[in-house]
Amino acid sequence: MTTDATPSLRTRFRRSLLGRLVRDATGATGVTFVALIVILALFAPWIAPYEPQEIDVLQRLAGPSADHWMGTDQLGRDTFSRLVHGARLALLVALPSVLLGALLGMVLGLLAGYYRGWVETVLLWLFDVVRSFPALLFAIAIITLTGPSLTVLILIMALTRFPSYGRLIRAQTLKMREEEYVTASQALGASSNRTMGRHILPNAVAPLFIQAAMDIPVVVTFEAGLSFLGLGVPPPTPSWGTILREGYTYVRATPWMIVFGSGFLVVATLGFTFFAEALRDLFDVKVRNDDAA
Amino acid sequence: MIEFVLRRLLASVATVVGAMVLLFTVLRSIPGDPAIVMLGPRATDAMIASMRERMMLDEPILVQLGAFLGNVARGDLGTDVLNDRPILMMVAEVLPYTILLAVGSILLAVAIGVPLGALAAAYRNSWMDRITAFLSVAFITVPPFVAGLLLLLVFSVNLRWFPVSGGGAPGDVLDQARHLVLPLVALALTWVGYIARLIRSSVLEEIAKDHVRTARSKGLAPGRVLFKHVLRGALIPTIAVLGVGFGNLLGGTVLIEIIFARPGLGYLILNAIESRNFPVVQGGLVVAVFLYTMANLLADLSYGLVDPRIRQA
Repeated sequence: MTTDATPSLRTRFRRSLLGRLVRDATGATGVTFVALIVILALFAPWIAPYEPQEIDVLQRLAGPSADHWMGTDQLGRDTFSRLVHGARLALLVALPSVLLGALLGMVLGLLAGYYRGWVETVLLWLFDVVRSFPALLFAIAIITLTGPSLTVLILIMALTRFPSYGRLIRAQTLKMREEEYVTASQALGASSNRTMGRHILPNAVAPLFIQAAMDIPVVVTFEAGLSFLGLGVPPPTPSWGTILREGYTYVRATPWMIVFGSGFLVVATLGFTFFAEALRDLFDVKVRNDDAA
Repeated sequence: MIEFVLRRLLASVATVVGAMVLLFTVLRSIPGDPAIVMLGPRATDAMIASMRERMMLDEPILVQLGAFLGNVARGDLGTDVLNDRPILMMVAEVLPYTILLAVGSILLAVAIGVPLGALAAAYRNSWMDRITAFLSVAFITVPPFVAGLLLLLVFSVNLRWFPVSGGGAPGDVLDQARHLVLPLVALALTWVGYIARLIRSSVLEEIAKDHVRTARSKGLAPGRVLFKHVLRGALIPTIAVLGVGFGNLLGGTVLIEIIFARPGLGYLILNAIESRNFPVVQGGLVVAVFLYTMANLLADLSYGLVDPRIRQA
C-alpha cells in the first residue's frame, strides 16, 4: 500500500477556493458569468468585431444578422461591439468605487467600534444621514452642477456606499474588542493604531470582501441608470445604460438594443450576486444586504 | 412605549437636520456658480448679479445655511426663480403620483412575496421551493428600470395591452389604473424577490421555535399554525427591510417615471435639472429625504409595536 503525501491536482483543485465555489450551481453560475464579463472587459478590442464608434448609416437600426449579431443602433454602430466595450466601462466604474467606499467605511467603522463614546455616536449619525439620501437623486443633483465624468461618478458612488461598510466593520470591531487577544495586546502596551491595524482589522475583513462583492452589481446598475438618464460617462464612450437609453428612444423601430442591452446588464448583476452569495455561504458570515439599487 | 416613540422621533429629526446640512454643504461646495448654471452662458453680468442676490449666494455661507434650514423648518422650500411659483406647491402637485407608485408597489410586493416565501418554507426543498428561489434571485437581480423597459417593450409597444406613457386622464380612475399597472409591476418585482427570500428564511427559523411546536401539538390545522403563529414572528425582519426599501423605491421611481413619462417627484426633479432650475432640484431632494426618514421612522415604530422587546433597546 502506498500513501501519497502530496494530493493529486484534482484534489488540490477541489480544496482550493475556486474549487469549493463552483461545487454548487449558484457558485458555478456566478463564477462563469463574472469570468465572462471580466474577459469581455479585458479583451474588448479583440473580441468586438467592429470599433464601437464605427458609423455605418446604411445599416442603421438593423436587426440581428450575420454581419451584426445583435443588430445596429440609430447611427449604424454595431450593438454587440458596443456592449462588449460597455463591460469595460461597467467594471472601470464599479471596481474603484467599491474599493474607495469600502476603504472609507472600513476606517470610519473601525474608529466607531474601537473608540465608542461620542466618536461612535457622531459616526453612526453620519452613516444614517448619508443613507437617508436617495442615492440616485443625490447623484443627479451633483452631476447637474459638475457635469458628467468618470471621476465624479466614482466619487459619488463611493460616498453613497461607504455607510454599509462602516456599519459592518463597526459591528465586527465591537465583537473583536472584547476578545482576549485584543485585551492582551492592550495590556502589553500596544498603541491603539497597532491594536486596530494588527489585531482587529485582519479578523474583520472577510465580511468586508463579501459586502464588496455584493455591492458590485448595485454600482453597475447605478451607473447604467445614470447613463440611461444621460448623466453617466459622456458619449461616445459605450455604456450599457446609454445603449438602453438609445433602445428606449428607438423602441418603436427596433427592440434589439433593449433586449441585448438588458441581457448584458442582467448577466453581470446576476453573476456578481451569485458569486457573492456563494462566497458568503462558503465563509458562513452574516452580511447585511438591505440596500438594493 | 412613549419614551421609545420620542427617542425614535428625536433620532429622525437629527437625521433630517444632518441630511439638510449635508445636502446644502455638498451642493454649495461644488465648483461652479449655480446662478451661471441656471442662466446659461449668454447671461449678462447684471442678470447673474441679480440672480445671485435672489438666491442669497453673496451672503456668508453660514447665513445661507441658517436661512435654508429656517425656511425648511417652516415648510418653505423657496420659490421657483424661473416662474415664481412656490416649490412646495409644485411638489405637492406631483407627489401623490410618486407616493401611489411607491406604496402601491410595496403592497403588491408584500401581497405576492409573503405567501410565496411562506409556502417555499412550508414545502422546504420541494420543486416549489426551488422555483421560488430561482424566481426570487431573478427578480432581485433585474434592475427595476430594466424590468420597466422590457415590460414597456412587450406589453405596451408590441401587445398594446397597456398605454405607453403618462399618468392617465385626470378624474378617470380606470384610465389612471391602466397607466399604473406596468410601472407598479416593474418596481414591485425586486421587492417580491427580497420579501420572498426573507420570509422563507425567517419562517424556517420561526417554525423551529417552541411556541410553534406547542401550537402544532394542540392539534391546530397546519395553515392556521403557519399564518397565526409563524408569520407573526417572521414578519418582524421584513418590516425593517421595508423601511429601508421605501427609500430605495423613491430612487427607483425616478427612472420608472421617466420611462413611462409619468408625473411624479423624480420626473419633476429631472425636468428641473434639464432646465437648470436649481432651487426646484434642491426642494425636491429635501422632500425625498423627508419621506425616506419618515418611512424609516414608521418601520421602526411598527417594529416596536410588533415586538415589545425592541422598545427597550
